[in-house]
Amino acid sequence: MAKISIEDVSFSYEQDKKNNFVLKDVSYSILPGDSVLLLGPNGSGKTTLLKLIMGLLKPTKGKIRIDDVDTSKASVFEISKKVSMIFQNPEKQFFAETVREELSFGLKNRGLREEEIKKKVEEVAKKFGLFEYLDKSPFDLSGGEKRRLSIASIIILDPEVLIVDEPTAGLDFQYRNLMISIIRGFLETRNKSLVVATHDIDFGLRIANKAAVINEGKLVWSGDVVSLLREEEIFSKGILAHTFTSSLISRVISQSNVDFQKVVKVLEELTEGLM
Amino acid sequence: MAMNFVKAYQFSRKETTIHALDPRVKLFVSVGVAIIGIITLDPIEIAFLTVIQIIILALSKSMKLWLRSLKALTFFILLIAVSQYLTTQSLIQAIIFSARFILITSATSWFFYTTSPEDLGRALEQMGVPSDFSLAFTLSMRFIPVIANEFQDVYDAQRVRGLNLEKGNLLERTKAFLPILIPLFVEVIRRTYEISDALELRGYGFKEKRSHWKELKLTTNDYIFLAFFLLTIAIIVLHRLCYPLV
Amino acid sequence: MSTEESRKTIIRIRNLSFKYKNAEKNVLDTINFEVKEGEFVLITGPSGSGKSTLARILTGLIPNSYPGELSGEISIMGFDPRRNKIYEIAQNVGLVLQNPENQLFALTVEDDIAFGPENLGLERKEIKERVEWSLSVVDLQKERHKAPFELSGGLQQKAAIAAVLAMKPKILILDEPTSYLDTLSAIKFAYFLNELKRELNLTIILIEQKIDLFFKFLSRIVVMNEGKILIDDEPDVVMNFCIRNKIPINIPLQLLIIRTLGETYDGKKLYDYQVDDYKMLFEKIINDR
Repeated sequence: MAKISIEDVSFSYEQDKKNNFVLKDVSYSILPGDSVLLLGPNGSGKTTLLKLIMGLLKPTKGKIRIDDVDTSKASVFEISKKVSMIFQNPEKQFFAETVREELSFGLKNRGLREEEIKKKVEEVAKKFGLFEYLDKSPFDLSGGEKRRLSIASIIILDPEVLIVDEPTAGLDFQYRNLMISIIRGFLETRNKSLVVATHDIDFGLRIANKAAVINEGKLVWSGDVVSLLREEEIFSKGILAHTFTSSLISRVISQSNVDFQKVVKVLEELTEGLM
Repeated sequence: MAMNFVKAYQFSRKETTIHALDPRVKLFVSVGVAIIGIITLDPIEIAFLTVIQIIILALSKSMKLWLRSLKALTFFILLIAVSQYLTTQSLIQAIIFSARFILITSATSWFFYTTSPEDLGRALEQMGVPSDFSLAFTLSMRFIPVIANEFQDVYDAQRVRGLNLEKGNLLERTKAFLPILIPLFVEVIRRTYEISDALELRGYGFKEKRSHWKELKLTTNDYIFLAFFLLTIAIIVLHRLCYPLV
Repeated sequence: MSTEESRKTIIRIRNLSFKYKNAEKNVLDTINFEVKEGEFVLITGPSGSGKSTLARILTGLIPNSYPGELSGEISIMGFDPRRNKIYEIAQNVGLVLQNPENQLFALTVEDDIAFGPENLGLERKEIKERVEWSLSVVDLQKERHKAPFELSGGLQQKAAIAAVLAMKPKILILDEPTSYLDTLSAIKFAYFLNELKRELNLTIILIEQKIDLFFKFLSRIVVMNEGKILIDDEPDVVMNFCIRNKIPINIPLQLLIIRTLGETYDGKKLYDYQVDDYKMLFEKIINDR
């Protein structure tokens, strides 16, 4: 499965003299099996970094390699064979007449055979509870169904690395949980990796094992999620803000040596006592 | 390529005499020069007017912007020159036509460099354009960058799903635009509803005649500028009378 | 107690039902809803529960812009959206929509704030005063000449609020204002909103999912689901109800912890507990597993 290495990457949108760098000297590796939380305030450069990994943008300085392939020398089409991205408000990408067509789009572009596509579409539709809507228009679905469809149309591409930008922004309680189960489902396959940019730490804690913090374009911290919660400086400096939940977890694991996974599990039982 | 044209006409906030002139006066002069540019075939007039535009550009500290836009429009300038040459077999005609193109774009571009979209909107309103139209105008200006971003976002999202705009014949490539245009269209319509809700919530429609909190008033500089323009016209008319073109 | 009762009821809704034109089902089903002057009401519930529809009715967007079958008794500061136009109601009830971008029309912040008063046909002097006032109330003076797209999400939010405030409404409705804010900005926003309410004596109706951020400022919480109001009461009563009945909303973790241990709890004391107290309680829960 794919390994991504980000090597001393800097990026500026203006290709002329102004040199206003949105990202500065970022270096990081994403190994197969990693589930990485990309954290940082709005405007810190998270989305830009995700787009760079996806190949939609090319680094101004430095390199990004996906299994030894330099992204600045590869097309998005090439890169999309291993990496996929779910944007914020993904429902905005709907264009097809039917749900079936929407799901088939990515696979058609790859040149798969009709029968193969049909099989995959029905399989994924079943998994996402969309089977009965296959012949409906995507625009006629409810909010939740739309969200499921937009994610399904990316998951159907079966990427080795999945990139997600702010998956829980604006979602209510139920959809947040849906998002968590979809992501966990994706990670069930061994050695698949995930990079999630989010400011929703409570959500992130439940799906990630590593974290990287970006502030003002620089990578200011990286490590595993447990260490992040033990970190004082990042939170006291206001780069990240604790919610009650994250500050509670932080204290419990710092001061009492309780196993992190157990804490997350109990937390889920508490909140899901509702579901 | 379209972006180059857009970039050739961007407002940049500065404090120069030209920037501070009344937008209606600037509009009048700029359009006036452009019209002369369209009608005339006389190289001397073209050169004369172009020099004046350059002076205005210099006074408004927009030379850099203008040179950059010329660079961006090089393709069009050459296209015009070449097609003229092929049609008339005359190098001079080719040059004259290109020069006219440069004149017209220069005359219109300093207007946009020095007039903020909101001032342009105010100018339209005060010149008697019905408030619905001038609102439609300012709204369009306001949302152009937003829609441009939306376009880019949808394009990116579809590229991730394997959309390739460069493959195939002309028909295939045109069809490939649909997964971008349809979502964009849907999004624009959706926004239109939200924007119109927001307009109503802000009381639009309460009064037939809206108030205007900033009013445009002509100053001495505006009159001087107009006077110079009229002088320029006078010189051109004189030139025509003395040296009529064959 | 007497101050509570002597507060005027400014919104009174009885037996309200609404169905969008050409829709199959009612989006709102026999709703009863009242708001007194000066309250800070939070409305929550899953997507599609009818919260935004209610906001539209309170401002007159329904039925004026969104036709349908609207029935029931409706009085919003004496206005009825079936009788009054949106621009009449808009001078009393302000609505800040979820996406600030689509509410900022002008090319600079100050022109946007002036837009509402200009529509009302006010005198230039009055408009200028309102613009200055609005800018200072939300602390956006430095951004007054900026274009909306130059602003960050949080500042766009403030600009939209400033623009709505320039209409001088008595009631301010906000639809999920923290949706696109990061955690720190959302926390700051909650305090900002409460301050705003106090300074300007506003009545606030807040549609939100992030209950915990606003909990300590609220007079009431209303929980909606599938077009009905499940419960409408004081915050602690509502939270207890939701925990007991497993209602899918964002119940603050503090309450879940206390409730699980069987302690009855008094909503006022919620924020007197320190995180360390909760830590102890939480550890107890873990050890009990």
